[in-house]
Amino acid sequence: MSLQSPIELSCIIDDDDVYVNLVKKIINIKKLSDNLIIFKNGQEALDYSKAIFNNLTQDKFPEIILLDLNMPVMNGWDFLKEFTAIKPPANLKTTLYIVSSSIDKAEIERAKEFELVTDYLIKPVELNTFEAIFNKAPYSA
Amino acid sequence: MQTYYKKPFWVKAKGRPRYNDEGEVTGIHGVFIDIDKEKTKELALENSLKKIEHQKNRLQNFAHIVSHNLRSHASNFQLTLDLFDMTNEEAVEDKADLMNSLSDIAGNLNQTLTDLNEIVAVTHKSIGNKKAIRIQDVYDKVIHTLKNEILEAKADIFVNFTEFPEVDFIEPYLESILQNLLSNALKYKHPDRNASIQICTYLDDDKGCLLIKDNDLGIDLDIFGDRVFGMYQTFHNNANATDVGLYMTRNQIEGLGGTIKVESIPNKYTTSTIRF
Repeated sequence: MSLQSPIELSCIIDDDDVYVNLVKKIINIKKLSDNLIIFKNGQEALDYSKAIFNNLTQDKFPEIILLDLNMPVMNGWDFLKEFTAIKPPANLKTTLYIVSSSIDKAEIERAKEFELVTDYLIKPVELNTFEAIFNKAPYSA
Repeated sequence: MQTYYKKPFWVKAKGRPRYNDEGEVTGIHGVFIDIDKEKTKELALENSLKKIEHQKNRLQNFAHIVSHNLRSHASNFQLTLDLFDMTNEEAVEDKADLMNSLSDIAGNLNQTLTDLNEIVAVTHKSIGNKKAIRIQDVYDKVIHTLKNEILEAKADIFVNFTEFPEVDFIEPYLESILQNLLSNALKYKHPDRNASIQICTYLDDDKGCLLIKDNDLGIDLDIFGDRVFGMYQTFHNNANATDVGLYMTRNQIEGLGGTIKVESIPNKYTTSTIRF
């Protein structure tokens, strides 16, 4: 079995401070990602993405994104819409997961409409699932 | 139509024109049928349907909030306990951190439950508890509570309750509604100008209305529409925006048979209109 290189940068877009801190701890303890960037709502994440796509910054784009749906200012759905609209480069290597406490079937169906979304995970996400996501990273060398 | 004792009742009129030999209309020949019982029942049914539709929407909203917010807290609890297990015995600081997490989560859980209870309480308040209230009196109370925020926002407030000075309502609810609307107007004031707020009451079609207009940041209703009244919704990066706020306000108004409408132009103004 080939060794997968660890994820360099992953990203959480979620306004629940408690949850974000817990996930941070898990990532640190299990060494799932070298770096982690956090946004409290869709707007912040969108601004960051725009800056990168317009080459306004040397920052890298995260390889894994965990996106919450219910956030103030700009929620997960609006972020997905806006993000698709700013036309990310075709060779962008990133895997996006929706992570939400909502078990609403309508929302799960809606997630399938976005090509960008790899999967819809329901909180609480099991530790095994976390590990699987980070180790599976299809875009590592 | 009215009966001999001036009591109105519903009738159905059926008739035919009467013609003379030249084919001109000379009168009407017809009957009035008393349909009062049927019509009254029909109106009552329509009314019930409307109320039920209303309740259904509120219930769905409520259920969604329960399933989302409570689930969030429960899932965080689970995650914290999992991490606790994973942490070494010697990592005392980490363990202490996790304990703090648990205490935060417990607090959040309690708050959500309190909020939800409030909503249920309003829904059950019977209309029989309404009393006549002088709006000026409630306004004076609210102004006193918010005096610091008013000073900070350097707000000018103009009021006029003369056209409709009294309303049949439940006082603590009226206070909570006024306070919430006024507090929002102050919180979301436009950074480039002092807050200028107008509050007035008027009669529209015999229904008492209250209008509050301010020159604040506004909300793009084309984008956010009905979410304005959703629970825990905020549209600006404002640290104080917690707020079961507008959700509760709408709940309280509609629970007592009224309606509230919001109009807004981003960066210009917001107007909230309540029909009692």
